Amino acid sequence: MDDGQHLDPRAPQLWRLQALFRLMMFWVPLSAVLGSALAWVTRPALGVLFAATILGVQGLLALFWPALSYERFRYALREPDLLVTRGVLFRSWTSVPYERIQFVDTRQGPLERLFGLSRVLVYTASGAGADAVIPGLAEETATNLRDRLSRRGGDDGV
Amino acid sequence: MGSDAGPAWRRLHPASLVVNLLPQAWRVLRAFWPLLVVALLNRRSADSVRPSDVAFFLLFVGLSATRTVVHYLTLRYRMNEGRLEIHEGLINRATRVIDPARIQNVNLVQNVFHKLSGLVELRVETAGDSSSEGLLSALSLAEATQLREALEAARGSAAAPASTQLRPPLLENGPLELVAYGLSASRLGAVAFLLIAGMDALNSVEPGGADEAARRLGPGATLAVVLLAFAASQVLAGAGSLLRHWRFRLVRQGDRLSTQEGLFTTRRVEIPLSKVQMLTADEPLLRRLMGYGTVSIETAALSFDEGRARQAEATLPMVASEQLGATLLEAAPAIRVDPWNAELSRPHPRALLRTLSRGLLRASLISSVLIGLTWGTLSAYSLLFPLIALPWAVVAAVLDWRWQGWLLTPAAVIARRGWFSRRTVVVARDKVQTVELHQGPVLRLLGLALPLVRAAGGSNVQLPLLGMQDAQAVFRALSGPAQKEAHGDDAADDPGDVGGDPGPDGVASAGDADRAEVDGQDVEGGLHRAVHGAGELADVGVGAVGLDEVGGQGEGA
Repeated sequence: MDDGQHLDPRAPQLWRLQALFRLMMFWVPLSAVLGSALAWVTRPALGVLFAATILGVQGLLALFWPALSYERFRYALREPDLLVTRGVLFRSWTSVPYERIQFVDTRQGPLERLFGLSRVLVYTASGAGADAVIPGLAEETATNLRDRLSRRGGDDGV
Repeated sequence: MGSDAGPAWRRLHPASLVVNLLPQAWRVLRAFWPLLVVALLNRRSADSVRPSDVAFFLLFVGLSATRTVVHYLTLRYRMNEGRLEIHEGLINRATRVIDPARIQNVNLVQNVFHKLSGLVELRVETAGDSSSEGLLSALSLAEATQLREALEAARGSAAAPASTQLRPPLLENGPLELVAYGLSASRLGAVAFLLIAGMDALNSVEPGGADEAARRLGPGATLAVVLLAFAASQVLAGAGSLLRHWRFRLVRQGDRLSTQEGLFTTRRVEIPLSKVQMLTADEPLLRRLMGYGTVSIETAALSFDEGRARQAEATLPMVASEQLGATLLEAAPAIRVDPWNAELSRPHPRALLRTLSRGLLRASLISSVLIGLTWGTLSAYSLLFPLIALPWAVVAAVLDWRWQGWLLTPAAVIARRGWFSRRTVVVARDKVQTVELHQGPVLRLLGLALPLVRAAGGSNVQLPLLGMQDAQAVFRALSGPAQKEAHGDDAADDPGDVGGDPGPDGVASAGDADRAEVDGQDVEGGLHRAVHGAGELADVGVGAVGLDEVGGQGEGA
């Protein structure tokens, strides 16, 4: 169940950049606020240490976690279904039968566009948002996968 | 993202900039409602307009206008090679490709702004996805009609009309049953709301009045107030149920189920049997002691009732306990199993550890909050909360784990959980959309995993925690063409149930090679034979037909 194709090799770099962006936009302000609050309540040194710890942990995760996620992410176009395996700590396996696919989206944010990557979102009638998301694919690969998955047809079980 | 090859892309009508502004503002409001709550709370204590109020207003207006303009400028659509392509977005660009065969409904929607400008919103609804709202808004009537006709032509013929033969009602609920239904529902949320509303009202009459009253009342009187709130919530629940489900009737008309209920607003729903996705039987303890349960019938449609998403197409308020199984079979004959007469398999023994730890954590958190809130008034009596809550959590966890069960048959997936509020969920295997398996670090330590089965329209069946091997076998059994096995001739004669006859790992294993066994190798081999031996399933349409009647006037849904 853990077999399948890897994502594009550029995916970890993209995720690293996205994580660093989140670090600057979210974790730095949050740790500043929490650190200041702690410094106010206790001692300045504790507040600084707390903020530094949060930033340090998030920074390390931003640097190393993408590679782990990349190694753990697989997608497989099997005979009856699309199988997506993902997750490092929280592992998940998702099977989407081709005949259940309602529509397929490709999406590309600004950072993804910088790396020439896209993500594919597969929707069934489950109504749970995208049932399977395959990030970090080359644009052409994503387009081909989208077109291939959206053509299958069959009984959608609805 | 949108390719230039193919037919030319079409755009929204220029008047969309005006027509979509208010609906877009409403969506912004829904998305940022916490900010609105904060602004309103701050506003209550302010005597005049402050810069923060102005900033909030400008932010709200700016976001709404920006999204409206971006939506108009970037949205493109076209019919390309028989499929509908929709492209939108400036920073985050998205291209959606929809096979017309997957489209359930194509609706033309006109709000007051559309009507004033002669425009229309075209909603392309695929089963389970409600995000088409506002997408193709607004088009001219001619363009919308042209697109709709193109989609209808690409979809092919509609489903055959249902038989109108009438039969005696399958279920009727009288006033006493409906009142009992309301009284037996959990009302903790309503109690909390009543208490908070009462305190807020007291504070608005006299600032600090609620705190002063709490100090004067003392522990005994405070408890009496809480009990009074409980009683009031029960009365409201009983009255509400009576009004909402007045003269509830369930009738089977050929291949459709029809329900009718309501005193002031009469609601009539017709559900084709083939559209039933999931059945849920809820048996809260009090209702179970009365000898009843409640059945909810869900389809793929995500319908809205007074602005709120309604999950179940039909709710059968009070079904006699001994009739629950028969009712489920009447609503979904394809499941071919009565969960109350089937032997369900138990969850993994180690699952109790997780259930216990979660229950104790939840009880500890709630007790801590209650102690913090009531220490000033109840002082040492506050410690009663953890003394009651923690043992209760242990008892509840053990009972819940003991009464959990699951079963896979070639035709259905069944899961049961809960004791104080027992819930049985059934999905026909040919309605399974996707299958998931989840395993976090704690579950990995315990060697457990959580299978999750999704049907159409947001319906899910979460099986109990299973050992990883069993969970993987269940995953394999439900992946791919497994649902076709449910309609094969072999399955009709010999169900080959999975999970009903515990083997060494607590999972069924059968000697017959044609059965679905929960074992990695045999499941795949059995499925292979089932896939190549079963016929094609008939393609069916979708969606429940709901008819809302107001004052006797029927309206098509």
